[in-house]
Amino acid sequence: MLLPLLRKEIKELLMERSILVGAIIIPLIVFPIIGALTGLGMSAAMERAEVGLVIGIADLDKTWLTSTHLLELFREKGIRTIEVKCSSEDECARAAAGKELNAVIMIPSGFTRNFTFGIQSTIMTIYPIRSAAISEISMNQRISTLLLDIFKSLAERVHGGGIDPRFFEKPILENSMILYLGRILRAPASAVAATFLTTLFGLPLVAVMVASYASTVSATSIALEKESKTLELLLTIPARRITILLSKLLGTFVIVLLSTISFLVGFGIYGMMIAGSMMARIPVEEVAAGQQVSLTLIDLWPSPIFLPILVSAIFIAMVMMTCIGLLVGVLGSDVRSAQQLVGAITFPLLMPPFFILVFAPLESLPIGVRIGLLLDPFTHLFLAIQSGFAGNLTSAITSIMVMLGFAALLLLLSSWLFMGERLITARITLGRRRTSGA
Amino acid sequence: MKAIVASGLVKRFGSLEVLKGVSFEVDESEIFGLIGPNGAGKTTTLRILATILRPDAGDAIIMGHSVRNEPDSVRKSIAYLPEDAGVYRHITGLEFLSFMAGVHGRDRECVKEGVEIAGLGDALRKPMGSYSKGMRRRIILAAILMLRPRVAILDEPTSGLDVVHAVHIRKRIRRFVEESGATAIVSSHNMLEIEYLCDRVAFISGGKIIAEGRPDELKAEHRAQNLEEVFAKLVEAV
Repeated sequence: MLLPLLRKEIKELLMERSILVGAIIIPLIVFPIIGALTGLGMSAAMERAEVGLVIGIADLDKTWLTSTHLLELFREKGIRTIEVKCSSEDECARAAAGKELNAVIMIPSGFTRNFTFGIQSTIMTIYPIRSAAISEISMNQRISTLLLDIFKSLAERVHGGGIDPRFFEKPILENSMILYLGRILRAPASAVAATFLTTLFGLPLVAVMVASYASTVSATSIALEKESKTLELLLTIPARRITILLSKLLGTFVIVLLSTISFLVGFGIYGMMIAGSMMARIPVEEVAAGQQVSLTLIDLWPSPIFLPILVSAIFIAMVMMTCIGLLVGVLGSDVRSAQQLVGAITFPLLMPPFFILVFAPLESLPIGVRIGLLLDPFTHLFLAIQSGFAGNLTSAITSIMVMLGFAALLLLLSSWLFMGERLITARITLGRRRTSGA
Repeated sequence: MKAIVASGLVKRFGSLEVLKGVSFEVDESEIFGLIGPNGAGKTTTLRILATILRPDAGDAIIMGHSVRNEPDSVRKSIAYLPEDAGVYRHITGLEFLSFMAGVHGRDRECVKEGVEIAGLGDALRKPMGSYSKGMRRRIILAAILMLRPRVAILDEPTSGLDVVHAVHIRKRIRRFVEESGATAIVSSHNMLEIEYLCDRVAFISGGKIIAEGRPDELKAEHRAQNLEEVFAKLVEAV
């Protein structure tokens, strides 16, 4: 009994071209492209950073070991070192920010004595985070691994074959700090990464979900009027079409606003839970090494302009998506086709910039890909969020203005489609052509 | 003044010419029937009169306003019952009547009249999604007639309804015109219904008006028992 029914269902659904295209073909094409571009961008960013890696060294020990052998090992790894004169965390952090360094290492006084006796020393490191891309965190973790390798080589050079394996395994204890948008956060990169990811990945994800939801709601709003055949009645009331359009837009906004609040509250709880659980997993020795304090979202809250930029960007994205939804709703013949069509249109618009920009900065991408992304209105949503995150007001405003331009264009297009008889006669179905009946 | 003057209406959908120069006139306080088979052009004609579609050529003047140039003014004089019009599933019949009164700037008295015309009793407080087809038709017709439009455009008002609901609706349309002095244009492929309801009729076929007149005159002219016979003879002649 079930088998023939199931066969019929699968055949019916797969023969529906909108499902085939929207749910199967587009993801098969889009995700590999996104993966390739993201990988390309991340590799380019990492390679570029590794090639020109510059590390500041604040040497408070100043011995034959630190000023000769250690620097030699850095050079062998292709890392340029710069001497930094600082004796406190704040001074070193300022030096890291001012000289565009990838990291600053503070070698404490007495390091050489401990090291030659095979006693583990604590090295303080400061990693500046300047942009909102995951490649930045990956780079910090890469530097941390490189440092451990260098100090292992140093241990081998000093102790030769008679080295204690436990000392060789971990000759130094890294007490890392993050210079996060000008603020020092006393936490290892792994802890910051967890909370940082919820901000970096999560907030754009909320934007994507809100925007997608707006397009679905507005497309459904029009398609439902068509499908339930209430549209013609609505169009003959003594109201201007623009008033009807406005009521549709505002109605969608109210629903999406409620949904956004719901998303943000849910996401906030999720973020706190993830950050809490990740903090609990930080190795004990890392915590013991340097008076680590637990991080909260408040510690990691970015620049003061972030919230207004985030809210504005999400709101404009919502307007754009609502207009796209209305356009699709007008062109769709019924609710199902409108919803499938809206998915097929919004998915390729939202997903590539989201996935690519979360992992790799725009400037690390090839020029052709960069131009392609900039022509996508939703790229500017993520650029605005990232610029707002880093406190780059000019870039954030530029992205917001571009989004406003796209939104105005889409609004004009929606108004045009709402005028005259297009609302009744326009039809697009994936794979089928329909004509209006007499 | 004529309530409706349609002259040379032409409408194309792509390469398909649905209306090929439709012209007719309707007097005030008259019920005018537009009869024809499916696909003849009835709905397209009424959609043009309701300002939903724009004619490719020709024009229609409704209560002195052009559908082509003054659709906003036309909409103030008309109310339109679309063929197979649906309902908002989640709002009650009463809320729907209030909504229609509100968007037309009418008061609560208008809603009371709508309640009386619909004759749906307690069902008016239920969501319209639970209504039968006949009940849906009655609530929409009530929403239209309570507005007392100067011209009511009714596309297949009883299509697909059972006898009880169809009779109720026909009686309501007649009573509305008699009491308000308004004009109604009704389309149907049910020629017996049109014969009962209309003062004058026009036969439409293939996007053209092929005959027009009072039902009695047409029957006499074509020596027919009813309008169906008249239409059959007209089609044969064409």
